[in-house]
Amino acid sequence: MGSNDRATLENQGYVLIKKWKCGVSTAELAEMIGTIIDVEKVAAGYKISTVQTLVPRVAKQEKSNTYSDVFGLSEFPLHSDYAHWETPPRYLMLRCIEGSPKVDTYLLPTSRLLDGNNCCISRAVVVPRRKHSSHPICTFPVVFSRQGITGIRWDFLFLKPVNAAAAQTGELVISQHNKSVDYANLVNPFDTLIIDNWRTLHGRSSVPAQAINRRIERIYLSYIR
Amino acid sequence: MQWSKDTLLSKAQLYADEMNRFTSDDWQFGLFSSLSLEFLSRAALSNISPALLADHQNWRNIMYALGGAPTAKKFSAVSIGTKEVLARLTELLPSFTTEIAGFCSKHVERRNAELHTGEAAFIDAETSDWLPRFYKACSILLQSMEEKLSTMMPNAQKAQEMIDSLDDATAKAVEQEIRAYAKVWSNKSDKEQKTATSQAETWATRQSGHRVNCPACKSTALLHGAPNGAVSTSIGDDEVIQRQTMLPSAFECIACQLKIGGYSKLTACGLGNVFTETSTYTAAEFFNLYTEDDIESAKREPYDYEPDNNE
Repeated sequence: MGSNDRATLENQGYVLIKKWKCGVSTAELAEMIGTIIDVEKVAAGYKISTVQTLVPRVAKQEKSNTYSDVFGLSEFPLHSDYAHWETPPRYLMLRCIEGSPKVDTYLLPTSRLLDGNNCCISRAVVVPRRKHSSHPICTFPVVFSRQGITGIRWDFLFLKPVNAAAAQTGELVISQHNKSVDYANLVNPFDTLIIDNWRTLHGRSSVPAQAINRRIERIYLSYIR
Repeated sequence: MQWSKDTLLSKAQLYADEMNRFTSDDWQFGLFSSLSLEFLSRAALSNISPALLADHQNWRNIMYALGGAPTAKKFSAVSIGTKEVLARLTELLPSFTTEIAGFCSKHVERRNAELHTGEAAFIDAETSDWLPRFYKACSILLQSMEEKLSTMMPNAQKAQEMIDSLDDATAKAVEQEIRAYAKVWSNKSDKEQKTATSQAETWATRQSGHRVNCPACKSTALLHGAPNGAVSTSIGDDEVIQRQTMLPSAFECIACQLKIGGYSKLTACGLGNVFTETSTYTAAEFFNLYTEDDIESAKREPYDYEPDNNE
């Protein structure tokens, strides 16, 4: 990864690199730039591939644990991935297989939530909505720190607020979404968006009929060189 | 994992939230503070390593703390008691002194008394005795995890003022000042003292403030304060009562003319207990409703009608 792109990721919380390393698979590229989180091993039993293919699909009526099944072709709200993990994955890399200019990825650097709003976010506490069969439910602070980095976990769907500060945080996320979210488009094959999952929330616009064949591959990394 | 620093810290935050729903003279304020402090202590120890929380009587507790899956049926992980948590923190965190550990231990004992006996352990406890030390303990434990006081307390600034008062050496000079005023007072005749005391009693009844006994002359004097914490509102049939904790900021006695300013000085002479200011409103006042009197006076107002000439 070039130093400019690295700096952009560091400063902005995400970086979009158009037509990057064409012909290289998602797994190979991830191996080249950092340390892959092998989700198949880390979350064994969940049947999640290390490289996941994201395709738009209609929402399912029955209860599900994926954003696609819940929101279908509608907009995905801002969230961080695996926010219910004790330590969410540091980075996610989205690589375009078949893109569309009609579908936006929303990006909100968490600095826009933290600046001047520490009073509620720093005290916000959430809890997973679903009970796991073999783990007791534990509460989490929304703001966490690892290796000197302050991160935010947020997932409107899978985490529920336990205190007033967390409820206020939810309102803040929605208002910031309306006011100051950034956009990125994965249009061409090998367009690659790397998101710092600790310091940037992400979402997706609704998918129009023309974009129904959109296909994105996703992989998680714990470290980028 | 149940013993992770984040999970324990979030529990400390929730119990601090509960604490701050009450005013400082409610017994629940003290009880939730003790629960919050326990979770915070465990979070600080877990931050060094979750394994330090494991009860070493059973090696499987250590395995659990290390993230291992249970290998025995009906296994339930057991952690060390709070006293042991505090003892380990005293040794591992230089800033967590034996004095602070001693306070935490005493606060936990109050919690035990509250939950296991008929003693009303927190009703009797003076906030000036324990609240600044509670905030100091929280501050030290949070700093050990690179967190700020505002992570737990919405009123972090006021909490810091209380912490600062513990170290304010100049505040201790107020004792000498009180002795000086007491000496002047004792030199007054009985008649002068009686008159001044009576005037002070009347004055204190008419002025707003918290009535206390003057440390120099024992007359009725007033303590003024600054709002600290959330307002609690209870709505009855005909009245609305609001209560808010006040942090003492100034003392005045008109009998002997003693005046003391600043929380740290007030704490040094035993006047630092937070007090509750209660305001009572009628429903009409609080919700800005029209009262029957408003309606009657509106009816009595003359109107400027145009003459009705029946045309």
